[in-house]
Amino acid sequence: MTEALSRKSEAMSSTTDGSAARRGWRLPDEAGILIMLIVVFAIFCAMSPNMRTLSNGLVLLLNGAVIGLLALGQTFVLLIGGIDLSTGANIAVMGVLVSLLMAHGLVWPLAILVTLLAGTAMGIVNGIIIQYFRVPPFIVTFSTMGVASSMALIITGANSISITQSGFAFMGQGLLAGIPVPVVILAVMAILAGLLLSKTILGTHIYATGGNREAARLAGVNLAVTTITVYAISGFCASLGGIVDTARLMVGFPTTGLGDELFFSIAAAVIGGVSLFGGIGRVQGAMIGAVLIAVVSDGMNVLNVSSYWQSLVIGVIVLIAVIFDTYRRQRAGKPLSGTLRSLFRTHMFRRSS
Amino acid sequence: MAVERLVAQGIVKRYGAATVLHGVGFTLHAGAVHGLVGHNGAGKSTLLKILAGAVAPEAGTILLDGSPVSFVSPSAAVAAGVACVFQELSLLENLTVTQNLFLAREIATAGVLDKTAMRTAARQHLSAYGLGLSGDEKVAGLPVAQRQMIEIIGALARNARVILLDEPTTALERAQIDRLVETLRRIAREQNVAIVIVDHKLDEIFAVCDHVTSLMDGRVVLDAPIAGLSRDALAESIIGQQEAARLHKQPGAGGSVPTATPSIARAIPKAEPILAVRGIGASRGLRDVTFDLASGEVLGLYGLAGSGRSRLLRTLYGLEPVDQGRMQLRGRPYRPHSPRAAMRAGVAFVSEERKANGFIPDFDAVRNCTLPILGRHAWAGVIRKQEAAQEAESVLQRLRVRGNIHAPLVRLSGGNQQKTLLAKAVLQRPAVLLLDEPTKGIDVGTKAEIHAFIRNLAAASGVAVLVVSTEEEELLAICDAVMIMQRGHCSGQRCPVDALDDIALRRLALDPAPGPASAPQADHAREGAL
Repeated sequence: MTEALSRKSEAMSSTTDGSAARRGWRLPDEAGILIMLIVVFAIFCAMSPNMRTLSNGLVLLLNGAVIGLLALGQTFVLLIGGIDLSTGANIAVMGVLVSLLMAHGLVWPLAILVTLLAGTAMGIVNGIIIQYFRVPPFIVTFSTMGVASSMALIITGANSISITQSGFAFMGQGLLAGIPVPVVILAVMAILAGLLLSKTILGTHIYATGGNREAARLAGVNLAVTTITVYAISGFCASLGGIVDTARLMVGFPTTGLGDELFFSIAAAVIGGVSLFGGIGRVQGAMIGAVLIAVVSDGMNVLNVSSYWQSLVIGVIVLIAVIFDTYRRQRAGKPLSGTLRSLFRTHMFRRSS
Repeated sequence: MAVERLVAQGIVKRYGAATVLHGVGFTLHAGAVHGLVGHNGAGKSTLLKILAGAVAPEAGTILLDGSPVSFVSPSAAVAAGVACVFQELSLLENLTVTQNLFLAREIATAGVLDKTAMRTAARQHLSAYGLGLSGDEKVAGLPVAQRQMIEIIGALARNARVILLDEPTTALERAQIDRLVETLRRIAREQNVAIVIVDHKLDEIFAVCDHVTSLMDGRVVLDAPIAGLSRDALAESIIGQQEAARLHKQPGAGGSVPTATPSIARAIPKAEPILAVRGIGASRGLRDVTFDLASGEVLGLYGLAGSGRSRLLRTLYGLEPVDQGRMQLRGRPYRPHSPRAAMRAGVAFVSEERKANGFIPDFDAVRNCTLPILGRHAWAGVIRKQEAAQEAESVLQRLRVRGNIHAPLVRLSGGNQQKTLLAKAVLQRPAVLLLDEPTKGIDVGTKAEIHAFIRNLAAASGVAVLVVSTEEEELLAICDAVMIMQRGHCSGQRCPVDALDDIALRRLALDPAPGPASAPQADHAREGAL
């Protein structure tokens, strides 16, 4: 059946070959999700005047910042065809770690630095196990998720740790030119990540690894370096998320990040067009996905919808995105509109037969 | 003889413009073993796939026990009683022998497995054919020979009336082959099934078959009972000498065709060898491979399926480990442990499996080409895209890649994809270029362009090229000399192409070589014949 599908798409591609000989600008793959974001936002605005205020907009982004950071790291991992389930637990450990370091007298900038290094190291451990022991990433990061969340509880004895160094609050509560610092951090990180992926050798190698691992190896891509690096980046982003979360509350909770964060971060990347199969997707998309999730959460809050509904709504959106991604994969390299068309066509046929 | 179990008539199969089978017909008898022989690309595998329901023919009929059948899938063929044991074994390693034998037809009452009944039945089947297994063993731990027998027994247990075997002896050792041959004959007789066996080795064909059909370029050239058939006649039919003699209008072709020893000269390379390989071997598939490759020459490597041609290239590119022997590249010891190491040493490789590992499907031609050479066009890891693209585009233009080179490469035609892969290899400025089937599945026009490019590359820039191809014409067109590979072995003897034609090449590769000119290493294979 899949053979028949691929043969069909091959036949299609050969017929389009002639017409595809022009270069030129085409609609980016993220256009669809951007339109969806605008529509959803407009609907919420129409339903509630509170939604339309600038301050609500900033709160919305502030609340979405940590998920955005996780989604950023997750994007790198998904691009090589992996997955990192340990990011939520990473937040908990790193939040506790940064609090403990400060409680033991380390000045806060130094505590942040050590925590970032620790988060990166955790990612490197994930990457090394995945690369050299050939364990599937799902299993490895599933295990380290368990280890990390337990570690946070063991270290603290399940107690929260208050933070006394008031300077640290800047990381979570500060403003830069009127914009919350976490949002600024996310924006800077997103730009750096986007440049890394589009401008550097490493970025190209990440896409190549996810596109066809074996072909990338034959072309001389160092798979060990790309694999370990993406998990390190994911670990770094998660620890940054842990620092921001802790700074917003000025308390290190051993259970932060163990709720919906992991789910929402993967959701953001996937909704934004990052393929779960690797090789396709951009930072821009993941960020739009993160904002969409933030808008849905915030909008439902403003409309007084029970928060129990949030995961349900986002789950449905993710399902739609993944079904779409699966179709796109079968038609690798075809433009978005064609994917949509084939999606509909297949189902029309199925119904008629 | 016995009843006609399966009759195939006028089977036609086309792949694109190429017709692989031109109306092939043959008859299988119950209780007989039927050999299917032919050279590379003669259409044996395609015919087997059609009988097994894996491929649908464009025309033709298949009668199974007198009634017409047309299989839409392999499972439909199995249900009708036609089972195929392919080269890749299809047992589930995580299950036991018994579980495999009863897969999808488990004995159960109300959904609960009757394990005792299955175990008893499995043991009966296993002991009937001399497999001393209890049935509780996991398949993962069993050797290949036993797995193969389990598959055959599984087919019998599913009431197969026709069993198809695709090169069943390639992975087996001498004693195992003898045992398989004996068992197959017994099964055919006792179970009254028709067995089809595709095999390259003539001694095995003579040992096991009652009847043999020889294919050449998709047509039946010989269809006869084995009794009374001479080895030479069968070899001729595979090599295609009579056919070719007629075409080439050379009445004395039999005499003038260079047969092994006299015409093979250990040609002395013009220059110092750039790559010297001495007696390398690997635990699986390669033994005592020795040859020299000089700068500016195009050297061909020819052999039958399973002779280790591709494995040798993969070994040279660091994809397979080397157990023994040594290699020198540009005077320095060379033993790559990864493709990256091989590339750094100046070796480039174009894979046979274009779709599987040739390129990144979503990358465009330019990006695919520049992937290995980004380091040349970057500063502190940041790529100078314009500059890299310009270099790639100039080579792509020289190769005349048609179609949009800025669209995902997967959307270009096979020929343009192949040209892109060639461009990728050339951009690495290699000293040694390894090409595995450089024009597989490509139209004639593009093929000629690629051939010209390869010749040019060797002549103009002094690249040493090693080409593996199953197409005799291709090797004769682009190579200076050809080496033969047999059962993982290559002696380094070169046959200059001037002294060769396609018939001579096939004769050299056929194992064991017929007539007085047989190569010495083929002798041991002949002993077990009968």
